[in-house]
Amino acid sequence: MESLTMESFREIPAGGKPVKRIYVALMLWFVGRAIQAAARVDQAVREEFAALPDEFTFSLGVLPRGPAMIVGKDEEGRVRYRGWRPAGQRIDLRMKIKNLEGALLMFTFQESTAVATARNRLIVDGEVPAACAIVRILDRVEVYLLPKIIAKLAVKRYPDWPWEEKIGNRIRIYAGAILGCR
Amino acid sequence: MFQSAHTFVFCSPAKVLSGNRALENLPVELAGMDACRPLILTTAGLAARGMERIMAAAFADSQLTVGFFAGVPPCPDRELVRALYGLYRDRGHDSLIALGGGPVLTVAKALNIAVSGEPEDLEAAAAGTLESKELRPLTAIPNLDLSGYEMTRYADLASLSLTAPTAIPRLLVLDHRTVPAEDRKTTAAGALLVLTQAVEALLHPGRNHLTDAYAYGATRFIMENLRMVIKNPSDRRRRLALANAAFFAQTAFDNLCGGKIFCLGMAISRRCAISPGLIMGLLIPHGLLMEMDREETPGKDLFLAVGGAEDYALTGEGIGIRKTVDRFVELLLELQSLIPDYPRSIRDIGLKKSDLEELPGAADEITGRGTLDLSEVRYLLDKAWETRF
Repeated sequence: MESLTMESFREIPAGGKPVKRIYVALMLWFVGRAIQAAARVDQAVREEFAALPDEFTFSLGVLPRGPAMIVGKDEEGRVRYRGWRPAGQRIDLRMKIKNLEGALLMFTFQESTAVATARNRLIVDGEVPAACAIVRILDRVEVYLLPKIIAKLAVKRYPDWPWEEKIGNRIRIYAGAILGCR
Repeated sequence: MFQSAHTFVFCSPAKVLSGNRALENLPVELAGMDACRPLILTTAGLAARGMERIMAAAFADSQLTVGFFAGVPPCPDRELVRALYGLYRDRGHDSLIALGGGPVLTVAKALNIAVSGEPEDLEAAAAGTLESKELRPLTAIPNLDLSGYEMTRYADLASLSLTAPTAIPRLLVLDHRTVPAEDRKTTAAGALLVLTQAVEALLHPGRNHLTDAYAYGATRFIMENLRMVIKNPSDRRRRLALANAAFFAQTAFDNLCGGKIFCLGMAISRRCAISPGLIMGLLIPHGLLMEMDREETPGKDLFLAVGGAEDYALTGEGIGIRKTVDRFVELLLELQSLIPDYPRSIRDIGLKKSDLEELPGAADEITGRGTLDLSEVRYLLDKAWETRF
């Protein structure tokens, strides 16, 4: 029986999903920089951040080992993308996606942030009102970044904004995210 | 009328993760249970269907190394549990994942009892004295090849009938990738077994609002999805609904106990080596007709679960049970037309007239049974013997 048991037994070493990790890392990097740009361009995003405590910082990452993005307010209240390494940073709100596949569902816009939350794909470590504010900010940024047909999948309710405002802000946010203007 | 709650106890310790990509949550859920080196148990058949690759993908990027044992036979014994006990200890595992139904969960529960204490604890579990001992984390990932005991405190390991409330898996993961399409007969047998557990829970004198809710959910899931899964086994959403129904019904069953249809079906199954669900399907109409004349039988409630809300609204007082029986006979005839070798009577499965005398006694020895009135079991058996659907 011992030998029979060993014949049917093997160890599965931890593998990896490098392509998916790179995709999610790129998306987080771009969304992080887009949030920074949107805080300058969009009135509602600015107000959401203004209502959060001074030097408030949040991270959105994937368990168990990233990738992640860190965004926070500096001493002057300006919103800054603070990179992808949470280590050594004071973080007030940590939003953690439970696994890479869950992150991929979110960042390929098969599931909106609200649906992903309802399906228990996210762990929130911090104040719930702040987490709700961040989800609202993410929703607005996704509306700017994505064409309507995709953004409708990514957000709970697609907003009815004046098109000239939306296009103008979209160009400025894209420029800010790509060029990294401060 | 919704009666105010009477005194009752209800226990369902399992956390359930069901749906798209549920499997990928395993690493984080295991970490939440202080486990980082799981041993996966499964059958050679499931391993050959690509389950190792699916599990490897679920644990990829988790930094965990998992053990994968694909040698659980259809009828496991204590020898296997002893060998796995050594493997679990020697390789430093700290938790178990049962991938598959029936024998896999039997072995997983027995092994979990042994590795959480001493192998001798199996005797305590067989004697029913292992009441509150905390066990290591056990995760269940069942398929549609069901024994009826997966998410319960019971496990039949060869001649050893184990009963331990803490043996109920703490985590249940249902993902369409781990609920593969089975052959039609296996699917029908599993679903009818679940339906029997749910219907008997709805008729049980000790039922409460929570067992009713679970049994209602199980019954609706089966009635709405079984036919479609038999016609189109590749419908993964409906297959997952059947797997969910099994959890609902088994939880209700675990909180109450098996009735005469379940126990007799199990006893006949053991005698004739045939899936118990197929036999229970033949017994349900007779079992329900026996309940028809009882004043306390919740006939209309039962029809709400079996027939659905729309038909329930059109049903008059006092005819719920009759209509329920009609629905079951309709279902049975449809299954028989879709599955050519589905038995039409308990005479077709190799049962002899001489066996009828011993079967009520055998039914009374089934694991998880309630208090059985043997004269009723005998009457049910006689009726089933006389009938051909």
